[in-house]
Amino acid sequence: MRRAGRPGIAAATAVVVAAALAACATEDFPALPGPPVTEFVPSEAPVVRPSGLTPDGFDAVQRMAVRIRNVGCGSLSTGSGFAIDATTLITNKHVVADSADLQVSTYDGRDIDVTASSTAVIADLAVVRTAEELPSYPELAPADPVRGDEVTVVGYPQGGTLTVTRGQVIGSTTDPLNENLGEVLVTDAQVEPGSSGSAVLDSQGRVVGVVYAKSAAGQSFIVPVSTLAALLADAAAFTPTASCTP
Amino acid sequence: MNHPRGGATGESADAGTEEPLDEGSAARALDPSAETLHPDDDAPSSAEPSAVEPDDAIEPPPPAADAPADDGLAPEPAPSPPAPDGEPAPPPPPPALDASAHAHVLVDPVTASAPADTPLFDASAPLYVASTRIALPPAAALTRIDPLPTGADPSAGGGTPTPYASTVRHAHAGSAPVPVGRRRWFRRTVATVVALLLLATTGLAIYLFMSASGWRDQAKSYLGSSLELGGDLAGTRSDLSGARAELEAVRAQLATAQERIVELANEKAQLGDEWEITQQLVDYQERVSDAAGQVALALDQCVQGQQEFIGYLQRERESTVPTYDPAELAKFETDVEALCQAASEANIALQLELSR
Repeated sequence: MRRAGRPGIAAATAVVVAAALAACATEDFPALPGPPVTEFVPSEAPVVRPSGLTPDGFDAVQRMAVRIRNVGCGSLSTGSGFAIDATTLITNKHVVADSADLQVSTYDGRDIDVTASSTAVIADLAVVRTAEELPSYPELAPADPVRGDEVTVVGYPQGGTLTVTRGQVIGSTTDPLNENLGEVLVTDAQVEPGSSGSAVLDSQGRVVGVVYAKSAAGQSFIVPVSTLAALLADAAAFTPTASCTP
Repeated sequence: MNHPRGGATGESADAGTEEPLDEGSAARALDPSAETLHPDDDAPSSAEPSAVEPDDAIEPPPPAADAPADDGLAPEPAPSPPAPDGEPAPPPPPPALDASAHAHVLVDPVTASAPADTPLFDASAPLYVASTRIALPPAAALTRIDPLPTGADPSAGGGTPTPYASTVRHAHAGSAPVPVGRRRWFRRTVATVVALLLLATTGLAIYLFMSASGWRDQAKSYLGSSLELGGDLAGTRSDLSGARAELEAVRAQLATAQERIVELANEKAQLGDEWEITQQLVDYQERVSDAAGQVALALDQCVQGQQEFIGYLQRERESTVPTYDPAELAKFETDVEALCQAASEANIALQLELSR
């Protein structure tokens, strides 16, 4: 019995040890430590997320708006406008009409000299060229907004402070003033005299129209961006603005 | 020569000249029952010649055809093979073959004191294998497998390997007898394996110790780094908290500044509007003043002309002779009336300008 037990114990021991050695071949077997890590700072620079910050903290919507003063012959009026490139403004024709002098000021009060202005024949739109560069300018939306789209209007109602109002497109209609060919958009965004020429922006900050009138019910009328783009593409669509006669 | 199963069989097949048993006679002697009742048919490991671990001096038993002869040399009394159906239980083996009553059975009962030429078995005695009496070949046909070395003690115990232990089998009930040489080989193998495993375990232990030491040192290093980084992190968090508070204050200031900028821009625009309005008013006033001056000048000239004409008329009335040419007086009167008319028109224009 004793002799028979020894080989059995030895065999069992061998099996256990062999099993333990076989376990060494598994992935969980502790390996020797590698070289110590001494640099714990991530090698990749943190991703800089666009925060929409501007040099002076103003939104791009505010930076692109301008205030237009029309000094006429014994008259004075104000309107709004917005930049579409570094030296080009878009406003309404009636804002720059019968002017002896056009004066443009930015959101921060800087005065921008005007070199020329031209008005469209078939729409209440005008293009003003400036001598200095404008702070910011948006891009034009590829298509007109549809009913229910959120819009933002930025301008100088009553010639006062820069104001941003929001509303929705409630439909389209023919121009009640007969100043524009085709249909115009109607929104419920609140505008006032002096808001003429204000930019109408979509949710992505793109221009979808230009304010040119309002109704007694508080609805605002907008020249759609399709009309604006079509006129901008036609060099003959704008003619120089005639000055007033004293 | 130590060789396992096949080698031993082959050698025995080749050693025809040394084979003590004549194959023909052995086959004839064992033929009636060896093929059907051979107890090792079901346990070949205990009876196969290949299972025997002989020393160099030991000749292996004959091959399969000689297996009955081997069994004839080492009958197994205890582990009886299963009896065929209907046959009675096999009778116990003869007592003369039982060298050890309770421990082992020396199937090959060769002792050191036995003469070298002594036949292994009594040819006349019957040999029982399992339940069948097997007639052994004549004694002359049997020869001793190996001579016993001088001084060897076959009864020294089962643990001591002997050259003749090739046929020593375990006699316990239910277990197959194991040759001593095989046990020794098994022990050596186990010892070798255990020794190798021990070496491997020792190496593994050394490796694990080194690994643990390395990990411990690295963990200590990382702990130090962690403490340092933790301190830096705490400081950075504190700075971040302060920076955030300052950022909020700066944002509030920025909002105020923006609001103020918008207000100032509006004030400037309003002042510009007022200035333009004032400028237009000034221009208007200048125009009105100019018109009023012209009206006043015209009125003055009208008045002066009228007074001068009145003086001419008084001198002409007081004098008996005509002092002035009546035509000149008429012309002067017309001029005065023109001045007064111009003054009146200028006044009307002024009033119209003022009324706007």
